[in-house]
Amino acid sequence: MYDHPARWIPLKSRNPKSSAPYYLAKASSVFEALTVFVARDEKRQIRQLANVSWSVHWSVTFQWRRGKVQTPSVLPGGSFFFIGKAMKGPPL
Amino acid sequence: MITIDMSSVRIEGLHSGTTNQEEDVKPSASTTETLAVLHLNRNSEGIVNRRWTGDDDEDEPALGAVYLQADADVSLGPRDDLSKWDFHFIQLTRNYAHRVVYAGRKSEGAIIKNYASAPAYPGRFVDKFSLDSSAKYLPFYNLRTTIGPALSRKAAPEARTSQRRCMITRPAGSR
Repeated sequence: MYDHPARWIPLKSRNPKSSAPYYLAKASSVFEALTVFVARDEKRQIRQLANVSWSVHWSVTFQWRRGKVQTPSVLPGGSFFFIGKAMKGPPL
Repeated sequence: MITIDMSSVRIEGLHSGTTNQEEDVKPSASTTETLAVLHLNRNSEGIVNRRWTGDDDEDEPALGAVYLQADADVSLGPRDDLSKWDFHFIQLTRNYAHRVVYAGRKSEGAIIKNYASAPAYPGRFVDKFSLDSSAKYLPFYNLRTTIGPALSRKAAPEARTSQRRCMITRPAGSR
């Protein structure tokens, strides 16, 4: 299977009281997945054969210059992809 | 009787197509005219431009960053029908955190929004794993499976038992 988790975030917002323009300064997100290889038999019973967990952590800052956003900075250490060790059987 | 050889069960990440290379799927970020996009660096162009609806299997190899594959050897007798069995992935996902900070140019203050908590996110799903599927695949992630040819026919007394390998998620045309 293929997957590509992603987050779409508006670059601009507004102060809810004064309506002054707001600019995206920082975004952080943590996505976790548990993927299980299963067999479903003729009685429609599901057997969990193996599993693996994985996650993506983003921590990103945005710089603005003259009303235009610059290339986002993905903060090292705060942003990583992790895939755990695959285990046989159901998740513990 | 259909039997799964548990010693053969395998699930692995093949992000580069041949070997495990987690560094091939680093977190990345891009911007469009109006949006910031948090994604992974591998195969990101279509994600940034929102070409993947998530419903089209054909798009998966070109747009996927994470690639998982699993297989198992299955023994079956002469009267067994493996087509009545399904071999697939079930995936659960959780949005553990999703926080954004907006700020004004000078003295307009700042605001923090957390899209992983209520009311932006349905309260009953906050901090919980949810099934990652769609109506046409339920409860599975997709329906991609390959049933391989017979691997072997064992000698007596299981002379009529054949063994097949059930693989899932392998793209068409490979191996």
